[in-house]
Amino acid sequence: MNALVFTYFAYLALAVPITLWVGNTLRRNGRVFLLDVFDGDEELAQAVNHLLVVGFYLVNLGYVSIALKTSDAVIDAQSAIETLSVKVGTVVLVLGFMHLANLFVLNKLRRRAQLQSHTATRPPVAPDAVWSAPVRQA
Amino acid sequence: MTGDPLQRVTVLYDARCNLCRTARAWLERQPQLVPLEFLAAASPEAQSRYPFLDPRMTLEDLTVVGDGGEVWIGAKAWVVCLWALEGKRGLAQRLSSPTLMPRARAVVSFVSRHRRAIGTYGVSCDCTPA
Repeated sequence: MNALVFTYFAYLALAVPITLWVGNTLRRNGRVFLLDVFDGDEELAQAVNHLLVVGFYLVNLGYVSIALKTSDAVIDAQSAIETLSVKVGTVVLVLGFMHLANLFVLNKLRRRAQLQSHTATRPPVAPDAVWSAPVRQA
Repeated sequence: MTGDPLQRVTVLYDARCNLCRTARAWLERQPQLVPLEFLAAASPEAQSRYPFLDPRMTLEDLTVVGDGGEVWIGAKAWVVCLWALEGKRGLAQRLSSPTLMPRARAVVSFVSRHRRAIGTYGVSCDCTPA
């Protein structure tokens, strides 16, 4: 096994577990958000959560796979570590970006649900005046 | 009381103005979360129910009165109307933000000032201005 193949194995051994860990974090914590969005509908929240996490895995593992090949000359431990570092660093940045994008989507869904909610009792603007005597309605 | 839930809203609009009647018809067609009631501004009914409102002012700007005696005028009145509709609360929330509210106010007051020039005015009026 030459240095390049070793680098590839080390890359996969780092990148795949990190992806799984981030995906798992997303699954565990996204559930709470989605439960809130879907008004406590456990089944729907679980389904949407699962779909989001699957999309997350597909994009990230796809990226990890595509980014595996390197054109660097890996001949010794130093160049192996350097190459590995750049590769893993890129994967972590992509993961971070994807994770934040996912959070953004979840938060957007949640905010929209809150805004559309029928539970708000007061309009978002303060009245210009308030007449304190009883008001006769039709 | 400003903490109590707003349960119904009365919209005082200028019934002489074609644009305002169109807006009223549009509001009426929308599904409402908080019931909207429409009254011609400065009509005898409006004046007897809301003696504290200056009828000339209610003819100038759209005025909305809540069941707790709250009065919203102009752009704020529009925000309250949108807020009362189903599916428009997000829009009402965005309009009420500090960045958009001044623009909304400018647009509403511009349209309001020039509404006599938009469409027909004073046709098929069922109100008696003060």
